[in-house]
Amino acid sequence: MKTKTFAIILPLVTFAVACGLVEWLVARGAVADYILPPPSQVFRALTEPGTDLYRGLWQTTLAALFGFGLSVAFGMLIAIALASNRFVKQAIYPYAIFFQTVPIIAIAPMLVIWTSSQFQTVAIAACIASIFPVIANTYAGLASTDPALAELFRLYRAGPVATMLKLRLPWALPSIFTGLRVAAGLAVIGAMVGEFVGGGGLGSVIEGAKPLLRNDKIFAAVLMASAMGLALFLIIDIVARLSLRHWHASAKN
Amino acid sequence: MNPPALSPAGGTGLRLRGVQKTFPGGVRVTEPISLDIDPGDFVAIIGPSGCGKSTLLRIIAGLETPTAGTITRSPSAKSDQSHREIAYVFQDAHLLPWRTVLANVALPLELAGVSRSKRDEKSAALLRQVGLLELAGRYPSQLSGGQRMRVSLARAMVTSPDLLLLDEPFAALDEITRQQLDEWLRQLWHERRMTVLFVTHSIQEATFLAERVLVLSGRPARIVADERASAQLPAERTASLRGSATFAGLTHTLYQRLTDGQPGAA
Repeated sequence: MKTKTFAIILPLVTFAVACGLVEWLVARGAVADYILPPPSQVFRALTEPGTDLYRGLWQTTLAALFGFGLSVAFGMLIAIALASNRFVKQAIYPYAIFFQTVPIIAIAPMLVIWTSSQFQTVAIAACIASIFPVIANTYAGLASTDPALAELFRLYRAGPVATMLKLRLPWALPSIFTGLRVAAGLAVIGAMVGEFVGGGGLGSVIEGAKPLLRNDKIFAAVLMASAMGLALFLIIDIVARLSLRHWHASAKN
Repeated sequence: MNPPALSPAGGTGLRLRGVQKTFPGGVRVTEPISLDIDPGDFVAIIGPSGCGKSTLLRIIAGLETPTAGTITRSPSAKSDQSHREIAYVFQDAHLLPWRTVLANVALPLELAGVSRSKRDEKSAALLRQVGLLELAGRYPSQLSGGQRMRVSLARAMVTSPDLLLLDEPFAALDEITRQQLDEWLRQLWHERRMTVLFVTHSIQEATFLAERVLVLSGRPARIVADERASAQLPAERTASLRGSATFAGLTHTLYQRLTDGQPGAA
């Protein structure tokens, strides 16, 4: 009980001290407020009447979620294909790694040309940025199927589809969730990179605030994006715990 | 004395002719082995670690192909959808951790396409018969090692196999649990009379369980002894049997055969 209380209170204390320190430094004139906006000013930016921050957050959230959904769907399909056949793996895997190494910022302009709307550009940027951890972790999970259980399924003449659905995918689930947790944060980053180039969402808000030296607004936008990524992460975490609670060590505690 | 307790044999007969296995790279695992096993017999196979007894079992199960030789099984009398001729039990329980005990036991029926209500009914009936019904809703992580192994055996039995193959199934359990499971398995065989092939490295376990004990030599494996335990031991095998003089005599004989079969033996 006591350790739990400390686990909640201590990070809040850190936060309050940091905020107070910045507030004090700026009030003393040690740092200019356009260099480091004091927390009170960031809070004012968040509550400014008619601010475009919330519309931006909404757009970024939708595009990031959509891109994340694409990552999960295609990433898992690609991983299943990789795990089903050795030749498919050899033919495709090098290109799957491409998704990890491609600098999303460099190909974003191409996405603008290839797609027909801002939303599409941003969602696809989010997908490209987040698909590799889904592929890699799902594949790793599928490839680690207990060989004795695989033999058991063979003995009972289970087909490849039944084996995939009833053995390999459930077996890979803890690993898949690891991939999803990583992908969630990357999807938000990918979406904002897409917005810097293609426009829309919090990316555009930041772009618009830059020439006005509205660093308080930029900070507010960054906070929102982080909070959204964190929320997505927590949702995945809860789903993972619920679905693994009976059987996997990772879901205990 | 011929006890009336034995129900008629329900298993399949096995005939091995010159079955031999060489691993890639030329390592000979077994000499050509020829062997006949009667329907409904309980055969234990003992031998030193790594002698190829597990390989022999895997070949019979169809999990590995022999380099040479043939295996024939007498045809099964049963033919309904839920029936499988062979069941195999591994060294560890190997249950699906995300399924309840009931769903684990029902798995082979599920893979055979048996409807849900039918397979649940059948699995529950089996669990009741083997005294595990109160565990039906638990997950494997909530069971003890012995309970898990019993569920694994129940899963093997749910398809009413003619041939039950067990590869050192109780080796990882503590001695007391192991003896309990031996008695339990013997009881199960008594009631169902499927053909059982039981691989173990424990002479005591082989003697206690089996009607017939085969002793294999070190690699490459060949059969160095073939003892009819049922000729000396009663059909009803209870815990007290382990302390009897006949039991001690038989294990001693088997021990002799086992050591004689080792390379470098005098």
